[in-house]
Formats: sequence, structure tokens, C-alpha cells
Amino acid sequence: MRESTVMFLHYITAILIAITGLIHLLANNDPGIGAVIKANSALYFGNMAIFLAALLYHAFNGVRVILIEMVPDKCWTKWISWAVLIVGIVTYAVGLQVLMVALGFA
Amino acid sequence: MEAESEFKEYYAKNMRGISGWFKARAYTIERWLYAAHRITGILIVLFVLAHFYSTGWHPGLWWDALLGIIVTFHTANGIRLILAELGFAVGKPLLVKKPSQRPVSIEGVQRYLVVFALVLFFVLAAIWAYYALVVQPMMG
Repeated sequence: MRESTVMFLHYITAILIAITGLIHLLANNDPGIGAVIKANSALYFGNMAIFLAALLYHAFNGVRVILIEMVPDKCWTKWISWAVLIVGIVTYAVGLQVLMVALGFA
Repeated sequence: MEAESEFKEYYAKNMRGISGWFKARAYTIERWLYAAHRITGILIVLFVLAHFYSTGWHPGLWWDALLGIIVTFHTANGIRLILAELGFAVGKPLLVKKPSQRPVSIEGVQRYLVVFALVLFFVLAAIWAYYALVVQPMMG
């Protein structure tokens, strides 16, 4: 993927995090609004699945950007990118499992 | 031309490393915001890893308020960065008349973008602190 596409997705996920993260915060910290949000657990699970995906992409890409800036070398850049991608996918798989258990889908 | 390529080669090596983030003297306030954005980003990643590892972990009360400052700064400054990326409130490039003229972000419309981001940061941080220090203890 081109670096410009990666960074464009970085900004898209930033906006997604702001929206889904706000829903996550309200659900857990505001007694009134939280009850309304958690009333439909399937929708809230969808929100958390999107939140987790966007957050992991944004966080791991942020770490990747800092790392490849610290080690400006073509070969290292390639390996860092692959390592971050694999760790990110594995974390998403585990995180989705945890979410399903926590929200009563498994 | 020769000097320019040497310049580029030097910067491509990134000799300063992390200390380069804090080389903010003689730059604009955006340079400080950039350094703070990186620091808060790394801190948020550390919190998120702990939050995942021990599901739903939180530092608690005053530390939660501090977490709010970190997260809301990253959010507010991130909104500023996205607006600038999309070309909002960037302003026209200024004609540099003399060597002492200051960069566009000091004299141009971009100044308002920084003010907007900082005001948004204070408002969001205050709301977060209210929830962390008042609402959460009541919820138990």
C-alpha cells in the first residue's frame, strides 16, 4: 500500500475513534445515556468492534511511523511494517474474542 | 544544488533521533504541539495496552483526570491536524519580504486553528475531569 493511502486511513480511523470512542466513554461513565446505549447490546458490540479496529490501526501505525523514522532504512522499514501488521491483526482477533465474552455473545 | 542534496542526505539519516522532536527553539508553537502530540500518542498506546491486557483497567480518580488531559489533547490537536491536512484555515502563502519575516502560521489564518485546538482541549479536558472526579465516584 502506498504511504499516502496508509496516512489517509490514519486520519479516517482518527475520526472513527473520536465517534466510537465517545460512545464507549458515555456508555461506561454516564448512568443515563449509558443505559440507553447498552440497551441494544448487538449495536454496542458493533460500535466496539469498529472502535477496536480503528484504535489498533491508528495506534500501531503511529508506532510504525515513529519506528521507521528512528531507523531510516528501506529493509528495516519493510520488516517493521510487516511485524506491526501481524501483531495488529493478532491483537484484533484476541480483542474481538474478549469483547464477545464481555458483552455476552460467546 | 550540491549543498541542498547534502542537506537532504543529512536529514534523511535522522541523526537527532528522539531529541529532534524537542528542538523547538526558533520554531512556531506548532512545533511544541507536534512534540506533545507524539508524547501523548505514546502514552495513550501504553494505557490502551494495559486497558486490553487487564480488560477495562483504569488508573483511577486523579490519574483518570490526567489520562483525560492526555487523551483530550491528542483529540483536539488531531482535529487541528486533520483540518490543516484537508486545507481548512491554512490561509494563503505569504510573500517573504525579508529574512526576519516570521512563518505563515504566526501571521496567517492558521493562528486561529491553534487557538481553536487549545480551547477545544481545555473544554474537553474539563468535561472529562468532571466525569472522572465527580460522576465516577458517585457511580461506585
